[in-house]
Formats: sequence, C-alpha cells, structure tokens
Amino acid sequence: MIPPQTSQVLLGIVVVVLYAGSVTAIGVLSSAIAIGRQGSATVHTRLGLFGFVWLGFVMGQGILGVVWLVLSLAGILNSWLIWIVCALGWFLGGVMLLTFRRQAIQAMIQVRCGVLSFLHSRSWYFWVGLIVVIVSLLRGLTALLPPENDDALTEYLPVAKVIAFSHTLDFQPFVLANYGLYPLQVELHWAALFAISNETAVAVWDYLCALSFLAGIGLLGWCLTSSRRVAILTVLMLLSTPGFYYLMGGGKTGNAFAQSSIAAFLSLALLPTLGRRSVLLAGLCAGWAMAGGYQNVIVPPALMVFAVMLVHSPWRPLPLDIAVKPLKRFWVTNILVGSIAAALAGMPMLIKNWLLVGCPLAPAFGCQQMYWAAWFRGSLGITNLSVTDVLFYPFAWTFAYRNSMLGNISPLFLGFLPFLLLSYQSSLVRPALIAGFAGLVSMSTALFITPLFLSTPYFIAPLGLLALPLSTSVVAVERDFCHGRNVRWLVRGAIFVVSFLLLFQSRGVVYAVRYLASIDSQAVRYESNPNASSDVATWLNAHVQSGQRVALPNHDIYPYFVDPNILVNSESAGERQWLWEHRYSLSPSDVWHFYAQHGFTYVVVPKDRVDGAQSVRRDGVALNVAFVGREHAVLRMEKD
Amino acid sequence: MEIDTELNTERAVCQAERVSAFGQKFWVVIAALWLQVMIVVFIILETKRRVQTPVSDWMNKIVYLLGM
Repeated sequence: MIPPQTSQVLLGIVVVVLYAGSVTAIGVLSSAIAIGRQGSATVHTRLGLFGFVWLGFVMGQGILGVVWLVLSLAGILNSWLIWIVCALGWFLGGVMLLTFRRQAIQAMIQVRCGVLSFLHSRSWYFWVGLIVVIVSLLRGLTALLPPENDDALTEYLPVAKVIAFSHTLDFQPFVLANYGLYPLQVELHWAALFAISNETAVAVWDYLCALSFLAGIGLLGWCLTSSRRVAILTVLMLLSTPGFYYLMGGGKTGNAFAQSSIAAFLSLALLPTLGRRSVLLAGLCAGWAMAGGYQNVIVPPALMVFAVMLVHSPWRPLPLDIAVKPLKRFWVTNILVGSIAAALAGMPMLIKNWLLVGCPLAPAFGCQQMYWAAWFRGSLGITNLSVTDVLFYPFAWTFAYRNSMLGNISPLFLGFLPFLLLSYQSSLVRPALIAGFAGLVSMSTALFITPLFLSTPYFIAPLGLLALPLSTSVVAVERDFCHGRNVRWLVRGAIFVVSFLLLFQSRGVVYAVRYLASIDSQAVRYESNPNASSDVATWLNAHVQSGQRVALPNHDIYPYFVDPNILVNSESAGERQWLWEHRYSLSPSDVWHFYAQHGFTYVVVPKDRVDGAQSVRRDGVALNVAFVGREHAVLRMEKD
Repeated sequence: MEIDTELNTERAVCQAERVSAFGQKFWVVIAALWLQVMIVVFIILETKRRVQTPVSDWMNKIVYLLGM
C-alpha cells in the first residue's frame, strides 16, 4: 500500500513528464513552422537534434504561456481544457516522430556515438561531467520537497494556486499589493500544473526549467566554441552558483525565465547562417523573457551587442553565409523583425494589465492614485548594496551576504578571471568573448537601472554569458600549458573541490527521500519554519466555514498556506483602496467597524496587537481571540 | 660573419621565447593559486554562514564541531 503523500509526489512527477513532452512537441512544431524547413535543417545541423528539441521546449513554454493567459483571463483555465492541450501536444509529437523517424533514429545514433566517444576519451572532463550529472540528479530529488522560499510562499506560488482554483486570472489583492500586475508568463505554467496536479508538479517543473537553462548555456558554449569541455565547465560554473542551485525547484521564476533569455542568444548565434529567421526566434524568446520578468529589460541591449559583434567582429565563430549588403538595410530590417517578434511575445502581459486595472504599464506608469501604485513607489527605494559594495561588485557578489540577494555566485567566476587575462587572444577564447561582452552589457544596464540593488536570480542569464569566456579561457590555458603538471593539478584540484562542495551542499536529499517515503509530512516541515505562520493558516483552513470572510490586513502571513477559497473572499481591491485612502482618518475602532459592516467574521493580526484590538468595542461589535499562533492571532467579530 | 650574426639572432629569439614562456608559466601558476584562494575563502564563508543559521541537521553539527 503506497502512502497518500508518496502517491501524490509520484503523480506530480508523472504529470510533469507528460506536460513537458506536450510543451516540447508544440514548441518544436511551432519553431519548424516559424523558420521553415530549410531553417529547421540549418538549426538541426548547427545545434544537433538536442539543440533543436531544446529550442522547441523553450518556444513551447512561450506559446503555451500565452494560451494559458488567454484562457485564464477568460475564466476558463479548467483542468480538462489543459489535458486536451496536453493530449494535442502528444498527438503532434507522435505524428512528427512517425514522419521524421529516420532523421530521429540517425540523430539518436549520432548522440549515442558522441556520448560513447566522450566516455572513451578518458578526459578528466568526463569526471567533471559525471559530477555535474550526479549533482543535477540530487537537486532533482531535493525539488520534491515542499517549497520553502519566502518569496515563493508569499507571492509566486499563491498567485498560481489561486488561478488554478478559480480558473481565472484576477488582480488578487491578497498577495503583495501590486504582484498581479507583474508579468506572469512563468506562473501561468504553474497555474496549469496546479490545476491538473499538485505542488510537486510545480516544483519539479521549476527544476526542469533550471535544468533546461543549464542545457541552454551548455549549447551556447558549444555553438560558439565547438568544445564540449567548454560546455561542461560553463555548466559547472552555473551549477556551483548558490543563487542558482538553491532555487532549482524552489518556486521562484528566475531560473525559468533565464531559459528564454539564453534561447534568444542561442537563436541569434545562428544569425550568420540563418539570417532573419534567427532574429525572429531571438525576438520571440526575448519577448517571453520580459513577459516572465520586467527585469529582463536588460536582455535586448545585450542582444544588440551580440548581433553586431557576430556580424562585424573578426572573432565570430562562423563565416557569414548571408549577404549583409547593403548594411543599413540589413540592420533596419533585422531590428524591425526582432522588435515586432519581441512585442508580439511581450504584449499579452500589457493587455492583461489593461484588462485588470485599465493601465497597461501599471504599476510603474499610470493608475498612480491606486493603493498598489503607492506600494510599488515605496518598493522602488529598496537597496541592499552600499557604494563600497558597488565598487567591489564581483567580490561582494561572491563573498558577502546581503538582504534579498538570495545567494552568491560561484567562486569560479572570480577564480577563472586571471586565466581570461592570460588567454584572451587564443583562437578558442575569442568567439566566447562575444558572449562575455553581451553579458557585460546586460550587467551594466542592470547597474544603470538599479545600482544599489542586487538579487542573483534576476541575473542568471547574464551570469551564463559571463561564464562562457571564463570557462573557455581555462580550457585554452590547459590546452596550451598541458606540459605544466603543477598548473594542471592546481586547476583540476580547485575544480574538484568545488564539485565536492556541490555534492556536500546537496545533502538535503536525505530529507527529500524521507518526504518521498512519507516519513516527514508537509505540515511538519512548515511547522519548523518560525516565520511561516502556518499554524494560523492551518487553523483558518479548519475553522472558517463557507461564506465567512477573513480579513488579512497585512502581508506577513504566507498566503500559500491559506485555502484559496478564504483568500478570494478576503478584502477586495475596492475595500483595500478605501482603507488606504482613509488611513490617516480612521481610528482602530473605525477599521473594525468597517470590517464588521462588510461581513467579515475573522481578522488576522500580529500577536502583539491582540490586547489593543480586544479593548475596542463599537456598535455592539466585540473582537474576541479565536486562536493565537506563534506570530499571529485570529480575532473573531461577535455582536454583543 | 653572416652565419655568426644569424646564430646570434636565433639565440636572442630563443632566449626571448624562453623568457616569455617562463613569464607566461609564472602567471599561469599565479592564476591557479588565485583560483585556489578564491575557492577556499568561499567555502569557509559559505560554511560559516550555513552554520550560523539554526543547526538543523547532523552534517552541519559535524561541521560545527570541526570548528569550520
């Protein structure tokens, strides 16, 4: 007899596999239609079958994200509709496999030959690759655990969970004031998975997206340098970045939208052979990256630099197959194609905002009289770096701990830097420098926009670009100084130490196995988190009856734990707006009176405010303590 | 006389290449040592940071006992 928790986890895994297959099939077909038969053959030749399928996976996420957005805005994101789309994906995948079975078999044989030759090469990179695979698998097991990241439980996951519950994408005033107005491309996939499965499916999907990002950066490295060693070392650099690996399956969107950014660069890397069609793909992917997070506005300037260097730089990895004359026309056309594609992909999120609040660029522009716009303006001033930190940016990022930074970067970034200075003229390093420059432009743009705020998950894609020339330089130095045994062992020793640190950091897998085996329950895991207020949520979920309303006046309590039915019946946007507009004139008794008048039965308040709230009595309405948790208390409104 | 001049030039080139190769090798060793230092500092800081949080599992306890 399989315990219910174990079967739920296993079911989540199965659903994700089915969902990923469908996303890939739809994406592959769409890419093939977008770039044509000849274009597909070119992508296949340059990136191999794996690269073509990977691009399809990212494209599929973009397309289905838009489909889920339309369905959820229409209020019909039902599980049966999602299953129909998934079935359609599998049907299309089956038809494509049957049609191109010969090419697929040939490609599989090529992949097998490539893997076997790598296995027999007896290169030490094989062991690095093996450690990368083992760590990735361990991280996959860890992703089975319930998400524990603060932001995930406060914002990212509740939004998706409530969309799945209500089948509708609404403003959702119960999450962080302006969150519903942010781009939700990634969360819409989570909503679809919540609708057809459970949180394990969401976490494993997030893990798959992180893994897919690693595959993408490896592909870009291979595409630019034709070296598998570079690809492996680049993947190791990203995998040893705490800001990345702690969030693999953690329920934050950074790793997922980084895929789209890297897919844009990989598509554009095909510009010398694929021409305008690569710009079309890159534009779509860049648009979807921005539809996953506005912070990806740092991607387009980097894409421009990348494209210019690919065409004009003597470092480009491929000769130009396309005619670039007249030059002015070439650039004007390509910029136009890329911009239109990016706008097409990104525009649905602005339309969503227009439908929800009437201001497409809210909360940054428009609707500034609303309470959530004031909240957003307040959040703009948040910083977590000092001027000294900015002056020593790479060191602060690698070694320092700052609030909201959510993890450092791998020490290999700083550690490999001298190798780049020594070997930047090497023929192997030069093509990778193009990616490095693009990464620098991306980071510089971020520094220009928010100089004193740093959060690693926002910069996963630029980090990937910066990792490319650094890892290439180590491979080049090792190649050129292969006779220097001391150097070789120093470098290899350092990389193995990092690899073993990664294995050590993956020890949380023990808890994942316990969770999978139903030894630890979800409730036990959340109870051990002192800030989670899961006790209050558990009480509310058990005691609030249908039709009763609960006021959640602050955002300290994690909405993820609260039943979606309670959340959607909490304060409406209109009620919050009224309270905000009258915040200076209202006494505590006015606030309780307001809640009583609007049919609320319970109010959740911080524990230290219970005595003050209880002493207030007006129009025969009294507040009695119903439950006291570790951080919060639930007050019940009762008429004398 | 011409042969002597050619030989001297070749010797000078070889000498320069040797010096250059030595210089490069020296800097590569320095780079490799720099890499080691970065990794060791990172591991110490990362481990300390994790141990400062409430000791939650036996592995952290061992690390704590080892005084890292």
